[in-house]
Amino acid sequence: MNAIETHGLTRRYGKAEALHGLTLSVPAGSIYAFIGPNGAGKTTTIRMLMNLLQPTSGQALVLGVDSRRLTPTDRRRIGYVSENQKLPEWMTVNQLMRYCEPLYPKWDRDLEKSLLRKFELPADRKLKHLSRGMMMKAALLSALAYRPELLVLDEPFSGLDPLVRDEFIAGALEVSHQEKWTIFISSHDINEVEQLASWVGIIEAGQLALSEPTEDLLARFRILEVTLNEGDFAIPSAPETWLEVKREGNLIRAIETRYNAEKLEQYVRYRLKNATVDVKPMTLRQIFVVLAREGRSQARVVSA
Amino acid sequence: MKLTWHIIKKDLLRLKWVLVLWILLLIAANGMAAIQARLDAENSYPFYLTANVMATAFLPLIAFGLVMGLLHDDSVVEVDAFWITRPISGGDLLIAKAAALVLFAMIPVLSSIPFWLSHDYRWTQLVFATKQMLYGYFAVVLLALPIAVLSATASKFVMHVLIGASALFVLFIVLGLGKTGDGGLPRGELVQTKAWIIAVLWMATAIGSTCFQFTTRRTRRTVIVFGISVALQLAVAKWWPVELKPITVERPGSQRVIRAETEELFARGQSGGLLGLIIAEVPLAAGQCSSRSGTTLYVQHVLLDWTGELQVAFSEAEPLSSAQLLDFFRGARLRDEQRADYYILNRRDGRAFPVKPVKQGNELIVATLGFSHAGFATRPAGQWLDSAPENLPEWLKSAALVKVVPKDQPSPPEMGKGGEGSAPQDSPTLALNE
Repeated sequence: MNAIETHGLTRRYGKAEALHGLTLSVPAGSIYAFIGPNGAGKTTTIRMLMNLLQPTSGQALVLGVDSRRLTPTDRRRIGYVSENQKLPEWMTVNQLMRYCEPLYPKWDRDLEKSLLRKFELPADRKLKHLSRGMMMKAALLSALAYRPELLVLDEPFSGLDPLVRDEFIAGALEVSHQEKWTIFISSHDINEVEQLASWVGIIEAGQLALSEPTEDLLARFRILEVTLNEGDFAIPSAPETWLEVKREGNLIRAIETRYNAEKLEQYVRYRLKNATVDVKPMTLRQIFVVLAREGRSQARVVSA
Repeated sequence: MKLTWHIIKKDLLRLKWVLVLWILLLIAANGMAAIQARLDAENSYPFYLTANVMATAFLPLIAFGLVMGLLHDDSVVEVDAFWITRPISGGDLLIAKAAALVLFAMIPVLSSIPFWLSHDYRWTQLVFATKQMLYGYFAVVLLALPIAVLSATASKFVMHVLIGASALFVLFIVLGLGKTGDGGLPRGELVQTKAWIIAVLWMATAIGSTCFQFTTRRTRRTVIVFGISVALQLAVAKWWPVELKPITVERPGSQRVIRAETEELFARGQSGGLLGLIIAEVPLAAGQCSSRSGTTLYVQHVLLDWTGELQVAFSEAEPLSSAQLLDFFRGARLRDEQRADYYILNRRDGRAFPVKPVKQGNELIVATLGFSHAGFATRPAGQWLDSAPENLPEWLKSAALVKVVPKDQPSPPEMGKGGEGSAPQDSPTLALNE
């Protein structure tokens, strides 16, 4: 069961195509990090998921419902927090909660109070007098207190200091882990979501570069440092699964995108004549940077 | 229903200070009108003027602002509006906003009821005054509605209004919307026809585009439909050729200008020349004039507006009232700044009754300066519902108001066709004896 599915989702703004045929699946219960550089199409995707924008073509299913036909009943199962969202800033935090409460039958006052304390939000202060971080926490509070099955966070950490960001993440995770919610979180900064994501999707120039469980992704990417034997400089072409292959003397550096220890060993033994290979794991950030660079170079080739 | 009320409560909280200001201004305006009705001519005019400025400028402006505030708190244009991601449908929101607008309409009415009751309004008059006030309120609402719906923020709304008004002004001059092909003023009937068509088009656009935008949020399509409608309205203003009789047929409250040169049968200056005579036909049917026993009808002023229509204002004198007649004639001037003399002409027998601005004690004033000020007149604008047509004097039903300019020709006009004589020249009023 997928909490979110998109099929060939496309959005054009005039002649510019912000999103091109995005096909994506977000498994229920996962914490899905939707990562991409600024302008890659993350916010456009989320806006279409939330039916804030109409797709030019394609379809998005959210909790099994076509996003264009989301009813108030469906929306009671979805929480949404975005850096772009216009909150009613004239309200106090408490007024915002009281305004939201009757909209959700599952609103949990105890959870609201506990999160209010955890986030250290001043209940009687108007939103317009809150800092940006505090305002985002108020928005998160208003999205968590009714225990949504799906929480969609669009660049929620943008501009937040590390302390507030950690509080925000802790607040979201604490509740979602208990309830096994699905969290779909977009960010342009991999550091922000590295610790929490169970799935990762990377979007580049309106197209999905990859989408898979974080564990699998971390398992298949490796930094390779191959030290060739003395005098053995004539090597065959690098495997297709290697990216960013660079050679400095007898040292070859590359990124293996389909790491398999056994196959690598065989390759080195037979093709590189027992060269020495140093294999290092990669962080999500390193993988993201490699894929982003790769995407750009491919884009340059295409445009050329 | 619960959700509707929940949203309305939020809007009331949001707009509470504007609403308080509105209520205070309404009370102040009613208070001014009450004071002016009890003062003599010399002292009451400033109060009348203040009440009138409040009624015609500030209060519609606040109503405009209320529409703006109400819609922009839950914008239907902005992609990231808060309500969209909450379990509120566009239809729910539309119902809540419409209900809030209806609720707000009660405010001026409820604020004016004590004032009306203190001036002995009967229930028919209360109903009429309420209806008239609601017309004014909803006219402002419908004017503001499509612009507010299509503006993402309050500042954009103000900007769009200013741009729209400026563009209209420029188009008015460039296209010559206020003129006929030969450069003169258009016929009143045609102007009336055009005005009705434009009003209906605007109303349909306002309601249609609001409903469409709330339920679909397809802003581009709404803007296109709105633009087409405005272009259509301008085209009607410029090129609509045909007078539609069902629209322009005389109804109680209508006035029609007849050019003097075609109507010499009605009245003539004493010196023999027509001298810019203008005749306003005033069908004084039920709902138009007073027929209560012992009352006296005064003509307060006659103004020629830009369309060539005559604006006629009446006052009613009630001998038993403690109020005094305000000298409205002091402000009654024509476009060329000439003071006019006025006559009520009996078209049936040609008798003319000169009406002069003579103050008589213990009379009550009715002002008719437009629909928006009804709450501040001591009587609804020139219309009286408590008289059945059959109770009116026969001659009054077909009476006409005659004005002769310049003032140098003050004597009553000669009788029109079939005239049998005139009323005494110094007769200041027309007594309605049944």
